[in-house]
Amino acid sequence: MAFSHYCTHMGGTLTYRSETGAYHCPLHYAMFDAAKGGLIVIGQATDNLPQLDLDVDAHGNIYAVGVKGLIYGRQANVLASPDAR
Amino acid sequence: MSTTHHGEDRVPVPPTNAQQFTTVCSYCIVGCGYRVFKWPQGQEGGPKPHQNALHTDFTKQQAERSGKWISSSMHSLVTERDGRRYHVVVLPDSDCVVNRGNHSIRGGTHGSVLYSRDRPTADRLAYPLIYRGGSQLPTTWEDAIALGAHVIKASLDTWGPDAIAMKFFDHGGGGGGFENNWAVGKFFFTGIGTQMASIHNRPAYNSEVFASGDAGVAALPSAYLDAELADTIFLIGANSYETQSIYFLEHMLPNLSGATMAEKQRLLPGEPHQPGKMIIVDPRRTSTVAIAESVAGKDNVLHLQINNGTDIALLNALSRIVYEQGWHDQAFIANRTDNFDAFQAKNLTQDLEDAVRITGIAKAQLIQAAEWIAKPKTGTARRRTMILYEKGLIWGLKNYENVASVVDLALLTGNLGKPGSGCGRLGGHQEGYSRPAYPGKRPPVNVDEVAIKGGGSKVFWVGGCNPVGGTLNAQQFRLSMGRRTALVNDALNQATGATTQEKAAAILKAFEAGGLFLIVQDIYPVETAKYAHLVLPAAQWGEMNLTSINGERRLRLYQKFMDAPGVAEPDWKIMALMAKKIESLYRAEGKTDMADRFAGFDWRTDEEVFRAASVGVQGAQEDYGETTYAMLRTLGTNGVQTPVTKISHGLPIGTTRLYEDGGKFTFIPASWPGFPSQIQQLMNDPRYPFWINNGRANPGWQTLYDDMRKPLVIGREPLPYVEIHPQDADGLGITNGDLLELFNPYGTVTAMAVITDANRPGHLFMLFEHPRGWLNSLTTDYVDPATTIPYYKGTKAGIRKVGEMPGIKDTVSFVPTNRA
Ligand code: SF4
Ligand code: FES
Repeated sequence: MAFSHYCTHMGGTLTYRSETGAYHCPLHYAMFDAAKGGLIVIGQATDNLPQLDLDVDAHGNIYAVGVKGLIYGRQANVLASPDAR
Repeated sequence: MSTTHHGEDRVPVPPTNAQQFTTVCSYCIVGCGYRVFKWPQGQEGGPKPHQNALHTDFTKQQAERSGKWISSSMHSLVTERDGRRYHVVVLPDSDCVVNRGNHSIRGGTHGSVLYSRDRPTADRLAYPLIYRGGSQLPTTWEDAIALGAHVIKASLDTWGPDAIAMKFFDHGGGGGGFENNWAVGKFFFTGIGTQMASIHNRPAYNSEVFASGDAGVAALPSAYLDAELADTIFLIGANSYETQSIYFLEHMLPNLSGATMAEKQRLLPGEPHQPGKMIIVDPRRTSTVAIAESVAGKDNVLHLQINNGTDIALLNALSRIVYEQGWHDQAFIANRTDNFDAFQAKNLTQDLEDAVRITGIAKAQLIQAAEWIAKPKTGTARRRTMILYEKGLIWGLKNYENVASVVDLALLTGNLGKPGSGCGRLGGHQEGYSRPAYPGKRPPVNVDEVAIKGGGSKVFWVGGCNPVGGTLNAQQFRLSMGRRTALVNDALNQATGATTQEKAAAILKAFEAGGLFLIVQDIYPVETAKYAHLVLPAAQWGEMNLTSINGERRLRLYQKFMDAPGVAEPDWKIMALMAKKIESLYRAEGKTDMADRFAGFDWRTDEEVFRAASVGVQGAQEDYGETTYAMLRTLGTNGVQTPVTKISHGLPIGTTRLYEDGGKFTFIPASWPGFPSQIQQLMNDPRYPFWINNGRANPGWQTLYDDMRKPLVIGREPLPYVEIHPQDADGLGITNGDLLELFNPYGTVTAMAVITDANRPGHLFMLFEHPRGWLNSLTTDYVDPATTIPYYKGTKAGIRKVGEMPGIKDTVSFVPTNRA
């Protein structure tokens, strides 16, 4: 299980706290429930925390193969190339 | 597999030629500024700064707080009346001094509530509906207005003005504003002349702060800047992180953290300064308490966990300690106030031991609070304390004296008219009130009791509210309305094929048997509309130009940027349609006097109504004088703080804070009255052991009319919930997510259990105004006899476990929200 570590409010860097089981944002105190797919516990974020779809290959390497939702600070989860257009 | 909702994983960027508008949040009092971008479907800005309207490099990960991130909830694809589709982005404005680019979950999700044919907002009311043969069927404005006008006119002619009752919004922001309020008031007060008027969230037509008005203190005297400068912020009956979020985050917390120290030293030289302290009076340990403690340190935050309904005893105890310590502001009392003796005799005789017993707050905490409020910083420097209150006090027991005792404390300590001070509402909705005078008396008539349950009125017109769940004692209200509207349904069911006049005659007959004709005017088919004979579709925020003020009286223009669905119209136009029709019916009968009462609704634009409404705010805190839309367009999201004192070089000059240059105030004596008989009966009955407090929570707005269509919010709160202490839950075998029935003699409701230690044992907190379970089915019919304001915040109930709700329980979070 993996999540974006940018808060979906204004991009604060989240930290996990085991006593709540939630990711906490130091900027405006958003909380996201790690056990419930990144669901907002409380706070001013406008999306639940983007969750990564993971895949494991035969060698045990883990790949992110998709993202549910949009990562903070981006227009699309894969950034446009600076050479585009 | 998680069922957690996630928005789209890509948003389009506005192209450089996107249309741009400025507006203000449609929701809470804080009034955060927003920018709107609109451009045709099929176009999109590029990722490089010169390729998009945000001048932002989207090839790079943005830094935190960039103010340029468009979340999927800020974007929609809308369809206009001509069928063309546009992208719309509603982005918080970094240049607005209120929010500085910040936003709450409520305002930050406006993209989700723009009308769109293929999103959850597709159920917007787009055409008038009329009751026909057991259904509500679409019809024309002409047909709907004709029936309404005939029924209203006949009722007025037969029974007089009070036969027509109303319950309408009176606020600013979404759906309200000076424009719509003026038209509603002109119709009901100048036209009809009814006393059976009530305001959207209560049973009568009243100020929620009559006592403050009587004391000479306007409801919104301060500026948000004052929260940055105060030595102490005293919050009573407010959970500001969740309900005035950006005021709390952008203006209060920086003071607590010390981030405003330089500003304090610059603006207030010659006195010692420290980071601010905060006192929070609340029966719950809220997220606001937890966050304040985490920012300021526990030593600088005092949470007074008060017993429900005992605020007056607390406030008077604080006043008494202040006075006995000699911390009061003698010069202010002598020069700026009168009636001190009456205050002294009543408020200052509050026994301190009694106060401890009544409020449940220890004496040491009372003394510490009094120190933080009023102990001078030095021999000459008084503490600057900002006293802010909201619904916990306004809707507590009892309204008039609650507000009086908090204003008295401010007067005693001289906290009005100077930087870092003030005594006012935090606010719920924004404000935009301007109406001709209400023709009723004070205390105003209880419309729920007299006009609806009591049968006193024949027509009930409900606008922009949902009283079947939102009003007090809601179950009884709902049942009465259901019975009475059904009598009109029966009459209409038999009148198949009847003309408008024949229908009106049949309805009038039903009135004699106790019938009620219900008109509901709204943007969505809210629960109250299910009982309606006419449903009138209104335009919402963004679909008309409107003006409102926020909690520091900041007036702005909220620009129209898209069409309303179908034939929906702004409320002011709907009132005008009805007024003109009634006018023409009277003219046809040659009744000129009556026709003239409904004349003067010929406005062509929103701005013409705004200008007409200026007469209704003269001399008030909202006074905007000669301000025009063009001036407000120039001032953008920063607007001007009313009252406007003059127009200079084509722009209005406003007022940062009230009473800096004077103002005389009156102490209003108040003492704790004890509980009314309705509550005492519940207290004495072992079947109803739990106190039920209630309020809003962070994600949703009021009756959740928009939030029901926001997948993010309704995913977080699919059912109303009730917070219960672990001890109580253990005793009753309740686990997180169980469905509970709460009941008392007034009604019954179900809610989902959330186990938390935020409340004391024996005290529950329920989310109010959720359409899947109305808390107000449990509130009593008690209102303060002095003001007709309910005691919404306190009732008692029994609980019974119904069972589990599989599928829902797994999708919601039970992590406590008060852990910062
Ligand atoms: S704090 Fe209030 S005004 Fe600001 S975005 Fe949130 S709901 Fe809107
Ligand atoms: S950035 Fe995380 S709460 Fe604001």
